[in-house]
Amino acid sequence: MSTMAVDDIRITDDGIVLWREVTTEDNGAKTFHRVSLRPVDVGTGGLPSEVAAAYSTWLAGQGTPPTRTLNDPIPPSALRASIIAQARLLVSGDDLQGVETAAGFGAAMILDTGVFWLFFTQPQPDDNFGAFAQARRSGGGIRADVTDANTGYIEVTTTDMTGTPVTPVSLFVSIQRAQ
Amino acid sequence: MAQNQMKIVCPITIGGVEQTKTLTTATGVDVGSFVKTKPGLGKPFLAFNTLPGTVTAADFDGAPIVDADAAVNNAAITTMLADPQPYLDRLTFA
Repeated sequence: MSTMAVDDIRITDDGIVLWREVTTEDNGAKTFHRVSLRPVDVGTGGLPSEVAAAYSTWLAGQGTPPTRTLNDPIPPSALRASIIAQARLLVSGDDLQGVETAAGFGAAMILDTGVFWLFFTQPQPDDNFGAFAQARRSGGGIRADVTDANTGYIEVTTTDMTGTPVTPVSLFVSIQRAQ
Repeated sequence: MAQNQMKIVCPITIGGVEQTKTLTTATGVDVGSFVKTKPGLGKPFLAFNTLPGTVTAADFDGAPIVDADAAVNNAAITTMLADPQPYLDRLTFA
């Protein structure tokens, strides 16, 4: 189901009349609001009735006069991509020597050869986040995969190109969330 | 209270089985607060600046228990770091 409403009409600095519509679509699961700016083509007609009515009201001086031009940018999305945690693990054999440049992670441990758990300082509200891992070792030939992620910790597995678990020299992990 | 990174030996449940594991804390984290997250309230823990090897088992009888008050946990950590030997004696190394 889709509904449309005209909620503003304004005039740009160069005299072009624009109108703004808010279209609401409800697919049963989510409601989407789409805001668009369109020029009013008064001369050719064919305006949606909602626009014509709003435009007439505005012309009659009964509506809210424009207080700014439509050259103003559309407000950005409220969601922004944020890094919520990161850490660089320094590894020597089966010893996790350091958890450096860390934020959002409180500690880490080696679970097995090439398997690391990194614990969030505070549990995440949900697991709707993205995890990125990058490993380094002498001579290269190593890959890092996030093999588990939940609200308490993430698991990263490092392997060589054949899939055999190997120990990295360092492992960088970053967690991102839209919030 | 932010601290230098340290080793926390504690029980961690992995795949439904509680195992003795060694956590390396992140530099600057307040360990007294973090232990409330891992291993969690009511769990025993041992804290060290360094360990001489890989820990395979630990005797947690009488070990400090994670308290809801981070200051209490930090006080216990300070005590363990000041005289680590009695606590190292609780550990079994590979």
